[in-house]
Amino acid sequence: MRPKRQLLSEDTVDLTPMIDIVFLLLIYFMATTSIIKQEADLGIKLPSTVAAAPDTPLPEQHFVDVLADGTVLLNGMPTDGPGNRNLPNLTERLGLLKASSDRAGLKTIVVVQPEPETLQQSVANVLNSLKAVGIKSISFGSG
Amino acid sequence: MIDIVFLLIVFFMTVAHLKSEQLVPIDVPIADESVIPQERGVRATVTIDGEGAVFYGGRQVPIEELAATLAQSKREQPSIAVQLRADARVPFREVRRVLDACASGGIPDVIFANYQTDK
Repeated sequence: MRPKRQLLSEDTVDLTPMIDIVFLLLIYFMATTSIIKQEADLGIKLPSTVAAAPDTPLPEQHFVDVLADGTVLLNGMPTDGPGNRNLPNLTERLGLLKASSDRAGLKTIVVVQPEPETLQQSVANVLNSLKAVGIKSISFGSG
Repeated sequence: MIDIVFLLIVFFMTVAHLKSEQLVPIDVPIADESVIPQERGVRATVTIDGEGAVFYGGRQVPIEELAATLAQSKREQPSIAVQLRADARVPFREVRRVLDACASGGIPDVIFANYQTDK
């Protein structure tokens, strides 16, 4: 009698288990995608080992100081105060400086000099600005 | 019964997924220009939490031993890079010590971990 029953049930497909599974998959993907906030990269290459030789400042070398409160100085001149994460003035001036050194065929080197008490977010702001301008030679100096 | 089996499968898949992604929970800084990598390459994860404690992978290490640990990883995998996850509130003093350890461990590739947006 079994085969006959199966033939009969073929007409009315029971959708409930399939809907169950679809819901399960939906919940699974919701759980895995929304919880984990992905971390992104800002890469630098450290120039050398710890001991930094006191080399003469080249014309295309620029210094960015980051004070403990988040104030940013480019070559000793204040550009951006704390509170603005995007550092518009620094980005603009570095862009101009890089454009002029590119025209002269020189490499732009930026030495970031944060104070010991500077928060990592402020340092990340500067690295972000350097990335926006396209400066890849970055080193950390003693602030 | 099949439903329950599926439920169990999904449950274990989710748990396994969460476990493999487990990192020391911190709030990394926000940087709009950072990119989510397609190729992650070989990387050692170094975390600095809000209190300045340093973790290699998920294990806390004293800062004095970090350079030796990194040098060991470098010997095992020459193309290794360091992914530095520093909490946004950590002072740069702590980050510099880790950077110094990377340099003396012979790994010049340092990647700072960031969130792309504050959302």
